[in-house]
Amino acid sequence: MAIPIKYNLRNMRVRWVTTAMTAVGIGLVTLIFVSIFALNHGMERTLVETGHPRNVIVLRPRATESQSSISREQAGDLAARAGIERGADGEPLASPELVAIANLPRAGGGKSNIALRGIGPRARELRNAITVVEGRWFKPNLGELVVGKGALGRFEGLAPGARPFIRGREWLVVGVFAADGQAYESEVWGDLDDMRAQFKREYSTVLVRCKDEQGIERFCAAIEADKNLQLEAKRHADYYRDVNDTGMNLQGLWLVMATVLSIGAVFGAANTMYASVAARTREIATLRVLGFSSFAIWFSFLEEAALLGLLGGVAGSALAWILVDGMTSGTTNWQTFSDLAFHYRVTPRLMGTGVGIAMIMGVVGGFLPAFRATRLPIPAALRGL
Amino acid sequence: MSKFLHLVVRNALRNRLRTVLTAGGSAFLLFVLVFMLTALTEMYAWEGAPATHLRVAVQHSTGLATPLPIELENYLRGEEISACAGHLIKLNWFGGYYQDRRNFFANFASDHKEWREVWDELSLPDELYKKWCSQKNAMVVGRGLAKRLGWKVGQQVTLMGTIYPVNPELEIVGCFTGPTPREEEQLFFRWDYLDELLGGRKVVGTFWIRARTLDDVARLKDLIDGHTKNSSDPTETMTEKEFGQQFAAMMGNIKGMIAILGSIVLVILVFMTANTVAMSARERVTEIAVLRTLGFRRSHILFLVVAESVLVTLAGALFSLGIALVLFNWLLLSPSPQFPVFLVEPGTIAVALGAAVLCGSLSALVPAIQSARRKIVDGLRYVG
Repeated sequence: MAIPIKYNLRNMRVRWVTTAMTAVGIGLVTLIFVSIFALNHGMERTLVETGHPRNVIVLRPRATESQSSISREQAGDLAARAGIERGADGEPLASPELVAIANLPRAGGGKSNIALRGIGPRARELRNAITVVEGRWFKPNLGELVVGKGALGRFEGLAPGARPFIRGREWLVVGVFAADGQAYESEVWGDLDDMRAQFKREYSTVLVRCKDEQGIERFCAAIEADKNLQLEAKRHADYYRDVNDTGMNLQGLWLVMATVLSIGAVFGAANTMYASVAARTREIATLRVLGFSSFAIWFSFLEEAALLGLLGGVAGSALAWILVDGMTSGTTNWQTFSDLAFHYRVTPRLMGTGVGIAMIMGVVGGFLPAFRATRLPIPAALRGL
Repeated sequence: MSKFLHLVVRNALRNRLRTVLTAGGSAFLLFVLVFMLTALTEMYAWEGAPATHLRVAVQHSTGLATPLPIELENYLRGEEISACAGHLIKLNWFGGYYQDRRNFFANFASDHKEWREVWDELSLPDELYKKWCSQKNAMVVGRGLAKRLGWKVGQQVTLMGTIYPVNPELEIVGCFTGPTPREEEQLFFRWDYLDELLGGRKVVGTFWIRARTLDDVARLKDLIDGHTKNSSDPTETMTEKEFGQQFAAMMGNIKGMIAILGSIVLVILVFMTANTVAMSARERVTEIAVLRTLGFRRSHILFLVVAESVLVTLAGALFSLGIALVLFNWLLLSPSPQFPVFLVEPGTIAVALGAAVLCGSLSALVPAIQSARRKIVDGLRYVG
């Protein structure tokens, strides 16, 4: 027969100071754990290209957008190739773009790199989810810019109406845009020809949409095979994933930290459970005499340890949700060498994982103490030695 | 008080399981602290470069990603600058990788002439330096980097270009050493070789100048930035420290985040230790009363309880520091390809030890005061 869980609950209440202290320890570890992964989640979210699955980006092999360069002739050649979808006007859906990097003052001091994207008329057609949230879209040839809403908060002097001085000229910010959380929100967009004139460069990349799935492979293979071009074509989503993989590779660090912290918390939980077993020696012996099996006692203590973890886990996850969810932050993606703004995202699933891991911490910590409880020699324990 | 140390140690060893668990728990928590602080010092390693250094960097004011015009070199080698500057090199961050993109390390295309004078903390034997000068596709590699990648002198290595559309095939002619393993995690090949591969486009990333005196550093900034101010390519001239700071600034508020996380870790440590100290104190109420009747003062009791707690957390700290030093400083392991080396600094060791003492004392404070204050008769009557 199992020992009723009420026994554990009442026990935890009687020694509430010890219970609370252990739960706080586990809870704070859960808080850190959930926050770390909320940060990771948020970063990953920005680096997912949610655009059309048949979008293909052409750029120089191994280069990022800002490092790549494509000449006018090459861009014309690419747009004229077979297999590219056509827009409503019958022209191919191909968007040559220029991505450059400028060092601008950051809000709160210091400077950081921001990505500037010069685009033509096709760029927005090829991407969904680009919406103006403040002001209006830029007009070509006037030196107007629109700022991603992530960049707006991270840099100084980019609010609508501002006239930032970038790469030898004054520009005018006319609007703010959102991009469904994609990395574009950390960029500044303007007219392709305006940017080309200032940065004295040709295009960086050409984004095209292929007609069908087979067309993508054919298109990519044809670009690869053309030795004169010396370019590479890949799915837009793949490009984004590659940049994410190498540029923001801090997951290893976070994982080491979270694991080591959890092990530390397990030691704490074990200590509490050992003390709790030691203090209840006589009680445990009495339970045995009453006929409860050693397994029932072992399981009961394990339950208590799991409850301890649950208590800490729920508190820690809730605290993370209150404190951290939606917090904005940013860092430099060293692969693209430009600033990336992101939000901490505490999802229900992440909170669930946090609670689960807290319970595991409790159970692992309680495993050996619970075992000790079953090994007590009954007569000696009853004597209270 | 030190004569009681023996008693403190014996007390700590009485419930060995509890002491080991507490010390173990604090070891793991303090390891995280050491880990975070080391990540921080590695990220800011360049910022810590001595401000008195005579090296000055010239970059494009739009940022490092924009190249400088080669014509600037003529000006920088002219009389006006030479009066303040002893040596000058062109230096491009090549940003290439070897075999796998994740194999991150610093690789530069650098002028070989005057390289030794500008990077005076790196030492390369004369005959190897001469070989580097005489062979265009030669490169010199930091000793630590060569060891990590398994490279031997005389080996041919192809670097895959990312920023530049070329893949130079280079021959290792020698290894240089630096004052710490950090400086040995980089390689240099010849700028003129890169230029040849690029078809003579004369792309310059940065100029590095070695000023003659400290006063000349400020003078160089004014002269160079003033000269280019109204040109189409204005420059930003800065000390090596400022140059490093711009990367630190790009990292964002990681410093603040690590400070918050670190404090939470310490709070966890205090709670965990306080819990065990309280358990021990409860068990020892009667015996503390006995000690008092034997003539121990309240201050002695206070000391005994606090010292035991500090001893345990300190043991945890020493253990975690030992592990960290062996893993990171001796075996030179790194937890992320982002960091070529991950060296625990003396300052970090001091902070970890300080944190252990602080947390040990803080967590013992309440039980210690309670124990010291309790009346002897109450203590003797106490049933646990």
